[in-house]
Amino acid sequence: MPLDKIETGRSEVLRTSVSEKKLSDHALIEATKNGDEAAFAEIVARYRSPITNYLYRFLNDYEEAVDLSQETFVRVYYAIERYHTDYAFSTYIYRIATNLAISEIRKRKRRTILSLTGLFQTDAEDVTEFQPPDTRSLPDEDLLEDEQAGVIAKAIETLPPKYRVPIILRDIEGKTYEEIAEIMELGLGTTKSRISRARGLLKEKLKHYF
Amino acid sequence: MSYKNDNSREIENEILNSDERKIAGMLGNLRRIEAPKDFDYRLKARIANAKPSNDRPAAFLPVLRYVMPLGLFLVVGGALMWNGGMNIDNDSVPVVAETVQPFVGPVEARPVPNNSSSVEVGTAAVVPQTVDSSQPRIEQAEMRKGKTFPGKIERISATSGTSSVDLALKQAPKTILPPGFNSEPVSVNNTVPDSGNPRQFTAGEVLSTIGIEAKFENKGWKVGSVSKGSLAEVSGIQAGDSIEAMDGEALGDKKIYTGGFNAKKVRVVRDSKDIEINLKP
Repeated sequence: MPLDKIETGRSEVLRTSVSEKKLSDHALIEATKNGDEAAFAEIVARYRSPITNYLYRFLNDYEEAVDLSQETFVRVYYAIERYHTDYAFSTYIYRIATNLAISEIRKRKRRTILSLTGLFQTDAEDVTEFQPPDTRSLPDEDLLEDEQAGVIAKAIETLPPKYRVPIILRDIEGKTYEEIAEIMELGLGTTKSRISRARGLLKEKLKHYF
Repeated sequence: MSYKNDNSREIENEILNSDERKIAGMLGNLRRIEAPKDFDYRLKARIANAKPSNDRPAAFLPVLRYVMPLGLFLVVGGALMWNGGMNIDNDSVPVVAETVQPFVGPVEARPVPNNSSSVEVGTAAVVPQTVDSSQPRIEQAEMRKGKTFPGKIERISATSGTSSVDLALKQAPKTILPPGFNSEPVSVNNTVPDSGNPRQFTAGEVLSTIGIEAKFENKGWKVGSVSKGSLAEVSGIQAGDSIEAMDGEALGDKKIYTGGFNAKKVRVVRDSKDIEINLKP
């Protein structure tokens, strides 16, 4: 390929990249529907860390959080034709991530029960694929060494999902009550009371810090 | 206390008590986690190679893991309970009246080959035996297993006038016997010899039951030997005697007894003399 053509291609990519960063979520979704892979890459770039952080606080497991975060984007990609712009894309993607996280919690419970009984472990679903260990240092590694952060993470992990989801979305992700209500598909009053209840439960668990 | 997220101002504006505010602050101060650097690369590979993991067709299998063992347990348990319910212990069932098959076959009558008016009938008790519920349980169980008790006949006949004998006994067909025969088989040991056909005996076999080993010669049975202590010896029959008749009836070579006989007298020829010997039971 001639050098000038390559340079032209690079400038095209740069123009696209710059312009897509200015687009709204809905516009990026529409572009993705039209086959613009760069638009979907921009969506991923915008939400990969928030979703990973949200899932990490929910599951307290970084690898699991990254895996479910990727699964969230896979779901978005395959269901992008069914996406409607009636509500914010962030609400949509957080709802998918929440559902995946709750499913994962249920799977963990089943695995715990089955590992206790030791029976009927032949299901292929329980057979985990081999994955090489990630030798990189965790982004949160220094934080995990912080005793208080670890205790808080454990306290959050012990909350029931119906309290864990809103408290993380509210106090960690900084979502508004309305957004949380939409993500959880609950009424505003219920959402507020659950957040308040979650704070009360955390206060009991973290009473040493009060 | 500072909040790192963008909604910190909104949270600060909430009406929170000091504890709630502290909890919100502690959570807000948690360090944010970033996605790994190869996130995009891995995601592209995942999108290219796979579909969403929940498209797996085995979503119902977790339910089966519980339903199948439960179903298996119910089937096995149900089968065991069913068998246990059907297998009632026979001994636990109270016996009111039970009819036992007669231990000797029905009466058979055969015409006598010679001109005698009598009919040789081997008889035995053809009486349906009734088990009294007052009998000891072990005895009843033995009788159910097919064992016979000769003594039971006398016991039942002795109580036949009481209510312990059921209707079947009262209505049992009466055995018509020719004169000179009764229903009780006469034998030394109160047993009937087994000659292949349990109901028919030759004269030689009948003689052997009273202790005589004899061979038919001319008109009578030549006694070869007499068993010690047998009915024949007690009655005075000796080796060398020729038995020609019993109770006045000729004892031919083809004589067949059915079931048993009840002879009282035996006519023998000893030293060319006819002697009547009374059998002494």
